[in-house]
Amino acid sequence: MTHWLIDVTEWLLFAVVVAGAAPELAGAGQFLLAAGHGWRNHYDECAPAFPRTAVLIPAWNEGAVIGASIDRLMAAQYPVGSLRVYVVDDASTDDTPAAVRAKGEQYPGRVVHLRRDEGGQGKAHTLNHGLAVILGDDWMEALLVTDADVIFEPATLRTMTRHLADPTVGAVTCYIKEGSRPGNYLTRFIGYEYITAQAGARRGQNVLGTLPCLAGGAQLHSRANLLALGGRIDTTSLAEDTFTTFETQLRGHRVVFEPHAVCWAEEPDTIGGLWKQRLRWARGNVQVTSCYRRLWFRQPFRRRGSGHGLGGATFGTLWFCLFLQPVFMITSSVSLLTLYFAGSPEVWPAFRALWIANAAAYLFITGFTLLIDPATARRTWRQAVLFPGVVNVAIIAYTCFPRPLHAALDDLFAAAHLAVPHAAWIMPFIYAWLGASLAIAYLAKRAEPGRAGRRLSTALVYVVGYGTLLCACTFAAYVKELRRAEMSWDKTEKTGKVTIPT
Amino acid sequence: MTFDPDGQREHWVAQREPGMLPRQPRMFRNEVRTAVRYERGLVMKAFVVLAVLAVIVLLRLRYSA
Repeated sequence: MTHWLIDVTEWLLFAVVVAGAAPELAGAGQFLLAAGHGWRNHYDECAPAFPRTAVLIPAWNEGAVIGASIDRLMAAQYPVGSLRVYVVDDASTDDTPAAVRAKGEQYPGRVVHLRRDEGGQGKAHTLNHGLAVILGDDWMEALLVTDADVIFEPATLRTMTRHLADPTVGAVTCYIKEGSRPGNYLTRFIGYEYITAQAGARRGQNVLGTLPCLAGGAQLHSRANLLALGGRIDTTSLAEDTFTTFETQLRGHRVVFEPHAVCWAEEPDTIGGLWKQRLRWARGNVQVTSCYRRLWFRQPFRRRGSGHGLGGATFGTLWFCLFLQPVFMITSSVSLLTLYFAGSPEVWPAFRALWIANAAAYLFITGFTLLIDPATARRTWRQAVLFPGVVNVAIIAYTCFPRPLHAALDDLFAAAHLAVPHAAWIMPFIYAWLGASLAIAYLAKRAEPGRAGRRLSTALVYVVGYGTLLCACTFAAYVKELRRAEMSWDKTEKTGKVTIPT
Repeated sequence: MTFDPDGQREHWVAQREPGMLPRQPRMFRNEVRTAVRYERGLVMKAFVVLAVLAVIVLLRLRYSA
């Protein structure tokens, strides 16, 4: 009886360890779907369309960036009489009002300055202020919601609006690229991340027919969709864009990602700035997960074309694999350590199964991502290779090629006249790494203030990996939501560093 | 700058009516064709990466098993 119990426990722990590869495998699956985007896309239903479009820009202290963004919008390849920009100035204390008024004079009748005298309630409230004005008359046929720092390429808007020729489409989003120049290591990590999360993953979601999120910085809605949403954006969460995307699909409209419509945004260049932004996004995802708890996996075998797929098994799996990634990391490590200290022979096979699956997914995702957007890849390939962190890449190499690496390490230690470390010392560290790396990523964030701290935090991000840093943000979001921490809208600072590469 | 190739703006309302899609202008057709060609090329890129992965696995099995 005892042996039986031990066997079952061992196999359960084995399964938990291997389940740690689920997020990577789900990501790879999404990229496999993306490869089919040439056949399952929305291009057959597209037609040239130039609806009267209102561009809605919420702005709080955006004096450094708003002028250039408006100029780029005014240079869009779009009928002059069919494009208006509405800037909702959320009680800015800098020169935002003056900058917008100057643009209003430069483009008479095409740039509208709306002022909220009491601001600071968050982006959704600001958007609703603008929406109330824009929906007040029937001029607007489509609404583009964007951010003050986002720079649109000339063809982007018309490339997006062509999807609205299909009345079943409620909203369209585009490919937002990281555009800070010269940028630093962190913006290059973000640049690479955006190929994976947008150009790669969203193509896969197009194939699936269900999108989890229209990018907050570039979402185009038809008027019909906005009216179906009640003419208002959800104000109860920190993920108003994800709520809008879910509600659009729940009300029967399609959402489409257009990968060939490109705009450029400025992203944080410090870990502190990134942490604030991603914590907000991750808390929003926790709120979405909880709010739609009666939706997940309720329609596991949806037929393609029969309504939204939000309750489908595939979408649910993709959502939860990403959402629960820190949990997978911690449970994998705990299970490996339990097997190790219990003296189980299953520990090494479980470890190898986990990391070989991770290695295959990592190689496929990285290689494919770099080929999807070669221009960005040329700038970010180092960050692509080190996205999981130096230690994880080393573990992948060690798992895939243990003998040659053992031999190389032996030679190295012998050459340095050092005693070869005993496996008993190294293996617990390696088994604990996935979980422990979350804590080290948090240390990177804490260490950043100060000059020496910045160097240390940069080194730590390379050691644990940018992906792990994002997972640590997600974990922090769980904690904040569990503690019901106040929802503060920590806006990302923009300084106007975006340039479109020529 | 005015951008209204082939007077497409006039078609917007018509396009919303079923069965009244206008003839697609050449520029639009070319853009969509280019986009679809790029998208179909992605499957080849995926195959290339999978092939590289397969070669790594074979090398691993051949030399380090």
